[in-house]
Amino acid sequence: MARVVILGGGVSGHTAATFAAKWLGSSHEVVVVTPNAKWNWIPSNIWVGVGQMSKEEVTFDLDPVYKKAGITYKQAKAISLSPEGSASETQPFVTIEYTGQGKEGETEDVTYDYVVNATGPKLNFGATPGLGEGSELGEHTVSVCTADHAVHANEEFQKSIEKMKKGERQKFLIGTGHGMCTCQGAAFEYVFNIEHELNREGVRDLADIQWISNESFLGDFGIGGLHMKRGGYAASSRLFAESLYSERGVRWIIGAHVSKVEEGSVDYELLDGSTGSESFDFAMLIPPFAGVGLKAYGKDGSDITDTIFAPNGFMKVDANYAAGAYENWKASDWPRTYQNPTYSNMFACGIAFAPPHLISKPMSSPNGTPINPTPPRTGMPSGIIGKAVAHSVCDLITKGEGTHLHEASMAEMGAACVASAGKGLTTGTAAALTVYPVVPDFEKYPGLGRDLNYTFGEIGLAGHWIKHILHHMFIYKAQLKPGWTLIPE
Amino acid sequence: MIKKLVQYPDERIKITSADVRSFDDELLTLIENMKDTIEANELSELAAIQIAVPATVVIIKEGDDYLELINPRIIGTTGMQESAESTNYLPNISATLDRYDEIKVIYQDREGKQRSMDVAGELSKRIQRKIDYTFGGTFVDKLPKKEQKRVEKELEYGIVEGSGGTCPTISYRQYFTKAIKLLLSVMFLIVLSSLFITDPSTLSLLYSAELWMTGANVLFLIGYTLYAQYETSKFSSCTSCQTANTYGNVTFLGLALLVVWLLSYFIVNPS
Repeated sequence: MARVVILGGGVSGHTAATFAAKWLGSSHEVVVVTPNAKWNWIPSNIWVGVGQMSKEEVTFDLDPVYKKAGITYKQAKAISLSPEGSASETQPFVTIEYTGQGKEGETEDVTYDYVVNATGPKLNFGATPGLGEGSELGEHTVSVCTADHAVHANEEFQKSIEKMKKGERQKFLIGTGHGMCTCQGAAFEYVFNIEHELNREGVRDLADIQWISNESFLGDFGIGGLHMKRGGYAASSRLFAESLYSERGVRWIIGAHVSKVEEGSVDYELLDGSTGSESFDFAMLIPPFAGVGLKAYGKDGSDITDTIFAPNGFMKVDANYAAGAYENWKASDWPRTYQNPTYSNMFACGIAFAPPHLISKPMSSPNGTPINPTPPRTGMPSGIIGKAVAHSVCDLITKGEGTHLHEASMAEMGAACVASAGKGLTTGTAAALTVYPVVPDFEKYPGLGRDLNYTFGEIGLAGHWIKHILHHMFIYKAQLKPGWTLIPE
Repeated sequence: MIKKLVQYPDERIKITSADVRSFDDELLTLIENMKDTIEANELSELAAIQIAVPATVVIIKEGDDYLELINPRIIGTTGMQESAESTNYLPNISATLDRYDEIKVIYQDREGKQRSMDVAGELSKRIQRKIDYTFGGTFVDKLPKKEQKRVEKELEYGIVEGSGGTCPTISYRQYFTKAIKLLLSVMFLIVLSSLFITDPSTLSLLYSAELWMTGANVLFLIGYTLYAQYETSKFSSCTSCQTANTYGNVTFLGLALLVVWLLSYFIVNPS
């Protein structure tokens, strides 16, 4: 009997674990190690953050689902990997520390035949002074990165609404809290949901809404922009985004690295090296992501973290990490199988794998501060990669070493994105966009690097309904209810 | 080398330009071609897509000098001012819109070195207009929706009206066909629902509604035919093919109406 250990129970890890359990059946063991007791459909956190959904609506308990699937569930966080075993253990193992199940603080070595690293990111609030400490959110701003953060964000948001109802003007600052952030899409959704709710509450006229982000143009979203077909040609998401921001009265600062956060104000540096500050009464700033800080040890106990992980803490996989300058970047630099090059029984998926380079054009200020979005690896690509990795691991177990691994390169994968701009059965809006491939392939598609035949973009009420349907559909799928395998990632 | 300018209705102008990745001889040739084209056409600025090259390059003529902006981005803005604009791409079209008074631009020079500048006034407006082109837009995209419709109409009809220009492909006659199709759908739904109704008084009521809708559709068909006749005579370039299309529509919709009416006569009619 082989044992597959999956570290992380987010979109990618949960997808990998549930498919692995289904394909392997009871003859092999699938273990999930995740510090969380609940699964969270993160895309809907923005609605929790404006009070349009409760935490319970976007989360569910993992334990009964894993029981049903025959998955061994350990509510714990992974501390280190020992891919060669140790002096006293011949099998490779992962050291975990329990965070629940009545064993809080206890550590355990879980041996494995295959390990899938799907830990997701560490929310690196500590990278910006004042934004937080380590992975802990600070006191000056709010976040929608977790369901608990979103609940807190809504509490603060409601306080602002109360103040406005008493005639007090409020300034909202929404965007990214560092020059190397990803997930502009979540901040984009949040700013327009805030705007929508303020309208609904009848206090929009007392609100100044300011966007701040590290994108060099509005609508970059960390993937160098999207393109929407218009009259047979593709229009840039910049046109769509600028028109939306103007229409909804949201001012913007872009090309910005937030360098410091204080009570009621942020300092920032722009791509031209100039600096500025912006005041706020309510701020939601997305933190940059880093690896969760997993360590790795050799058989003799030596630290081999640098062999397995990139300097940013994400796991090295079959990518070309020596691509060099922007003009040399190729689609083939991106990983296909997500197998660690040193240890073939180790895989990474979702945010946990180290991308070879950015997707957007790399930029920095004259002072050398890098200010550019880092590649998103969330949502649809994350699920697809998780499933492909699970497939590979299952084949390796059932067909033996040397079997062909399943591939899911982000340079050959499309992604659909539905970004909410306000919730409401008849008043909601969302932008529905598709992009193919996620990572531009400049050799295959000269110019923009994207196949414009698979490009679509539209904003409207139908988009909102789709987003709402997807919310229910993906939670249904994640709960492994009848027919869950038929729902795509 | 002087290049041909992309002009309406050439839709290549809507292509989003790609960032320049290699600062090589190809880029230098493009810059020289753009300058030659500016001189030959007495222009004051040009985006590469205006000579059908989808690269993010903007050249601005300043006196005898040129400002070369490779991969420009506007990262900061201050103030607003009205700007009366026209463009070589859309001859005879002009509009007034809001542009930022001062902008902060980052860009690369021909060697790939990143630079930045703060620009105000007329130069700011000229740069904004050209950067819009690199993202696949003209000043028309910046106009309010209503204004955009006006310009679209002017482009489709205005320039050519009375001069026997392009025959409109979208016009008011579509409202007639939409109304006919809507009524036909309602009539058909009544036929279907009557299969489950046995009460003669309800059926009688539904049948009279069917008759009224049949009458209305006949009137709409006549209206459509007459309006389409008027429209094709207004635009001398409307082809016989387009006229035939009108009659084709009338025949098709007329037959559909006949079928639905026959169905309602045999199914809905209680007598």
